[in-house]
Amino acid sequence: MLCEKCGKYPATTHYKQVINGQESEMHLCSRCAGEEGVYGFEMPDLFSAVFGTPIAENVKICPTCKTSFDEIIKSGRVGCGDCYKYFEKELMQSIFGMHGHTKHIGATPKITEDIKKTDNAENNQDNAKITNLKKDLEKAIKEERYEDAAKIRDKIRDVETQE
Amino acid sequence: MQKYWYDNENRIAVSSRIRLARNLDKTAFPNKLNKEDTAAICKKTGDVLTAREYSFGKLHYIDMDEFSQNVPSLFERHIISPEFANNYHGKGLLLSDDESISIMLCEEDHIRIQSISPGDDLQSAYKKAKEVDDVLCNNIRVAFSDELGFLTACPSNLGTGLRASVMLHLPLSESQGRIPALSAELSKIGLTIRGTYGEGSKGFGSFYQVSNQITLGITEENAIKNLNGIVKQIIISEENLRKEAYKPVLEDKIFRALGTLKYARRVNSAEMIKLLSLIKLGTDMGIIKNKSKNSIYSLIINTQPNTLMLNAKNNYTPGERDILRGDILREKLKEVE
Ligand SMILES: [Zn+2]
Ligand SMILES: [Zn+2]
Repeated sequence: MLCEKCGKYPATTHYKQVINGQESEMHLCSRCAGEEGVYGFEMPDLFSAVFGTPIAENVKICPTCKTSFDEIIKSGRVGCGDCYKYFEKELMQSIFGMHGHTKHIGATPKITEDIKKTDNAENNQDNAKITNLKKDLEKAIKEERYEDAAKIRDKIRDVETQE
Repeated sequence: MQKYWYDNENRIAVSSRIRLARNLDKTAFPNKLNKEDTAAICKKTGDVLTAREYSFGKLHYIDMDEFSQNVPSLFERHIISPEFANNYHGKGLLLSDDESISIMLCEEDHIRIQSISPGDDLQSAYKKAKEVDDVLCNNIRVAFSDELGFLTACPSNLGTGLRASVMLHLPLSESQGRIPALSAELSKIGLTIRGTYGEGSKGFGSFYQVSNQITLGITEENAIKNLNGIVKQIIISEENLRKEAYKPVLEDKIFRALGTLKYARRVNSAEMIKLLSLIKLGTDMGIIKNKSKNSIYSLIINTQPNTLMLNAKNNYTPGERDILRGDILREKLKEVE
């Protein structure tokens, strides 16, 4: 939802007012709410606030979590961390609208030895999984089970893109 | 030794909270997860975070499905969010003994660390939250990018993922009509104020939550420092209004509130918060004396509908609850004069 006054920024302040016995709701962005001097209740920011209606042509789907851009607009939530990379162009305007910035300057988690170890272990696990799946794939092709082969290929792709 | 943060009376600044939003790397966020994956993530993070002793003691893992009868009370005490209270099946909660640290697992984000300190003390709340965050980030790879910081389900939490808030008791600022102007000032600098109890533009009992909105492009320290500075100003202005107030009118209001609760037979929660707010103002200003062991604010916490029933180990209709609440308040306010 966009601000009812300026129509530029997401409405984050919502309040009810009674004029001549008629109750009406107002939805304003934080800037306009500030100018109007109203005190309201906050609702969670939604992307749809910035984009208005979903863009029908956008059929991209995040490869990691399979979330579409339409879903993101509707829920106001992304599906995984990779969505930010994948939909960077689409999301940046809204992120700037919310924070007035686009670059993190706070704390950075350090990559400890423990984390490196688990990363390696997980990679090894994935490598082992892929090796096994590739064997299955060869076998399926040899036995002319092409439907199975297609499924196994999908699985291999899933494991590989998880990395 | 006091057990809970609300056991002592804190004037004006009732409590300070820090919330950190974190997610596991390369893992779909909770709203995209099935039951098995949700359980696996709760277990993985739960195991890492319960395995050690912190400055505040240990964290205990709570299976929400086994704890379901406590859910409404946890929500009333701000230990869990409304979203989590509505959607807790198959999820976990980590809680410290004094309930000052609570970690919701698989709420909107995989991990939501919440830390609360009594009074105006964001620093100590942040220190405790950071302690948990360090253990988390040193053991599990979290979703992070150099550009956007900690990656969160809602972009409004990107960057530090840190929401700091201070609960303020502002009866004089409210009755003098200062809140709208304050709200306007705050929104210009990326802060918000909202009522703690009740909905809409006016909360019950003059309790307000002041918090930061912006999490990207600001350091944790500056976000906390900015909020701290503003909170100090709001406190000073409330103090001044209390000093300048016309005493006979104020005293009359406060003693009427005390008189009502000392004798009333049926009290609903809205009236309870309204009147206890005035009694708290009276004790904080030295107009009345609280000789009991309970802080006035702890009475607000403990006589909310679901917490009341949980303490009484019984379910009541709203009508029965109002009678029980009246009984408890009469008893607890005996030593308040
Ligand atoms: Zn506007
Ligand atoms: Zn995604």
